[in-house]
Amino acid sequence: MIEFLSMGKHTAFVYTAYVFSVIVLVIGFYIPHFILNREVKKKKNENNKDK
Amino acid sequence: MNISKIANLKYFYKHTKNVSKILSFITFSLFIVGIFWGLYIAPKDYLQGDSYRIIYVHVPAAWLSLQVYIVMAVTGFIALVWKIKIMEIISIQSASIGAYFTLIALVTGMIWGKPTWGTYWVWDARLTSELILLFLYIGIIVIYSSFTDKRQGAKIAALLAIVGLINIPIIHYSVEWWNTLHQGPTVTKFEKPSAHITMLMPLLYMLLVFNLYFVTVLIKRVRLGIFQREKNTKWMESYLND
Repeated sequence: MIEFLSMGKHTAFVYTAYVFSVIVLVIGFYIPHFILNREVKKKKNENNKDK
Repeated sequence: MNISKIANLKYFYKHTKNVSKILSFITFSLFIVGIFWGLYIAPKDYLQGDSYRIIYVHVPAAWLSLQVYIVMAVTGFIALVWKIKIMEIISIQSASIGAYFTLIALVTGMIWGKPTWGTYWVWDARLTSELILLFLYIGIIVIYSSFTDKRQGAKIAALLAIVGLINIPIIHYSVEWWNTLHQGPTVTKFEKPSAHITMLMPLLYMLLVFNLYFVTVLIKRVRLGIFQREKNTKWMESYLND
């Protein structure tokens, strides 16, 4: 398994690049998702209070 | 499907919730396959060894960083001239996604540069112009955020995006116009690409996946932009109450 994952002397470089990219893409994906959910929830609470 | 309907904020917000979910699932699945393909299935390069595998995230991110900027500038121009609200939102929401792609392109390029060039960074024309692109994206986001009147902010941001468009051909042709450390075009030489087909296929696949990611996140961000602008309107309040 370790042999399969190994990239020789470049292992650290390759995986760091991929992990960094995945982290940035996941953050970029979830930020609008969470902000929208939070704002919708907030707005719904405000509407319920007004009632 | 009627274009004018999609351009309608209410229609877009109501009808893209499920589209966004389906696209997210497809993008995520294809992305996993792409990572596996790039890391383990694509053959090792005879000269660079495994470090070349970084191109499967670096090149699509770099291409998208340019492509997203063009989308941002074109939609910004349409919003300025024809005052179409959804174009304004698409333009400004594209900026963050473009900044993510530019950041990935720069950082993965640096990581690839160390084992290949022996250094993380050189003030080479391609790298410097790509760094300027990141600053342009950040500038546009900061300018837009600094305005309390978001419509006014979007206009100024669109103007900056249009002016900054000059940087796109500079980035693209920098490797031909100047003697740079960065390699010349590999894939865009369509008549004779320098990469072998077994290495080229995962690259084109990842390019498709990154494009899909852009569309997916753009839909999410546009929905957020619509909500922030329209949250006090009657249609939004009745939609939330349903």
